[in-house]
Amino acid sequence: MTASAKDSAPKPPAGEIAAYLDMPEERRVLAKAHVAVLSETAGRVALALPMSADVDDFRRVLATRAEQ
Amino acid sequence: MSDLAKLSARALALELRNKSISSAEATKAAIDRLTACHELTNCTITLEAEEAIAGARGADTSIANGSAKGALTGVPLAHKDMFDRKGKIPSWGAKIRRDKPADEDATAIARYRGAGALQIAALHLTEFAYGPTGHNYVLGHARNPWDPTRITGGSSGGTAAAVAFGAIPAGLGSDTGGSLRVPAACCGITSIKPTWGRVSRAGAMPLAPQLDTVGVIARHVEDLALMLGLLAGPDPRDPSASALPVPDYMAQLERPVRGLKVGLDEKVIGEAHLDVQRMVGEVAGILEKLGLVRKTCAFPDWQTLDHLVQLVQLPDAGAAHAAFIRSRPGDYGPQVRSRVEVGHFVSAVDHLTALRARGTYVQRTLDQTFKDIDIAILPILADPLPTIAELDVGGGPKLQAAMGRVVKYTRPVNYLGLPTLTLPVPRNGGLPNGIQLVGKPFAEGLLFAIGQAYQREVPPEIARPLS
Repeated sequence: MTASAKDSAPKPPAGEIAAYLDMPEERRVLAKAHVAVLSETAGRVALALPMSADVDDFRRVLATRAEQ
Repeated sequence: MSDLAKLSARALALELRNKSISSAEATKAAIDRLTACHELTNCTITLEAEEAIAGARGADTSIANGSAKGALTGVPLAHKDMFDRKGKIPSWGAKIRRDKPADEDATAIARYRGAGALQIAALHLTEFAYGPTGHNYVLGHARNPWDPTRITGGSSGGTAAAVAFGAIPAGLGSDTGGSLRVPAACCGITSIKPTWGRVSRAGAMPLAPQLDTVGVIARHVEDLALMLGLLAGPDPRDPSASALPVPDYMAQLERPVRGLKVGLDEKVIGEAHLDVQRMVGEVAGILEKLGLVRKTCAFPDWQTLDHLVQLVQLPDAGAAHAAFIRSRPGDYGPQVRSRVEVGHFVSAVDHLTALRARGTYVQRTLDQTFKDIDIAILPILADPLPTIAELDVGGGPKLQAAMGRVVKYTRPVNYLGLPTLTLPVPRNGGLPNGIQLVGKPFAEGLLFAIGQAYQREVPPEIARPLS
């Protein structure tokens, strides 16, 4: 199933994730399957991540470990 | 003419200053060559010949009267069409565009303009810079100048094609998951994806801002050094631009490389096609000949990095397109539409987990992978140069796997934010390909020194030299 300008999918049921997107069921299934695999990794990584881990750690490490 | 096509930007700037050629002559030649390149590769979105010639005449006047000060005065360049220029509307490679002309130049454009460079054209990119192959279902696909049935790579495919063809010595691109490296590898040239934050993103079309990196594609490593030196540095318009001092990259070009340690992760490299593994080995052999010492290294689990970078990129891009994907979904090409949609299915917790873990993974990479090495070598493409037809997957069920294979070796490096230099592998009469040298944070100067030494062994080529 490919996306095209002519797609006009039926509205998904209320409460469906990203229900506002005009996409056919087949693409929704593919999207969910792909994201489920990624989510499994996120769950595994989260288990080993200290609560103090912060989104700013990335920039801090780059700056403090700079080797010019 | 053939000499002009082969000159680096630095060498051309010198010729112009010495008045051995005028900027008007060089610019006309570049326009002619770009026109020929476009016929073969579909590399150009907007040719700006009249404006460029007028700028060239101005440059010639400033050179004649001694007022020219810029390092690139009168040098004709062209860039990926995603950078704001005052009074113009960039195409973004898409049907959807900004609703009014830009009020000011992107910082990268302004810095090159300040150095005296000219812009002769706005160049092809994958729609919204969201795709690594050069396919564009709105503008038509880009074609490789070495073999037009093959991909240019994307998303900065127009810049790579024009540089490889010898139309321009260098140009701007951007890299969110491989968009500077994949095209440079596919077209047999070089690129620098700087450390995340080294170059301001102000005025550059956002794709996934936590990963987006503005950089340069060129045939000559010395041009990467020259042009990154002009680009890099803090910018009040982009708070994520690093305030760390910008080294003199040109001075670092001749830094000794003997004794530096290059790491190979055999497990990760072993997942590439055998021909690609052989290419990596050949480049490692050349580096050893230059005096570098070969070592083994191990990156953190590569698939985990690949998943984490997607958990950053997909929702980041989904959010950047949150308005248009709701209001104008039919104006997207099939591939980008599908990719933007997927981002809306990632949970906020998973997205933030990937962002929170990022510092830990960079730290681990530096402490473990880079413990005993100065740089690591990785493939760029996992396979020999693909054809346009075999990757023409649109937005269908093969999309994620096909794109994932193309950026297998590039997108995890965006998660780590580390600088990488693309070098072409020796073609030996065959199709182009490339490898990436990954450095420590802000170590672009070291990468340039190694690249400069490498190009003494493997000189730059152009795809269609004039006979």
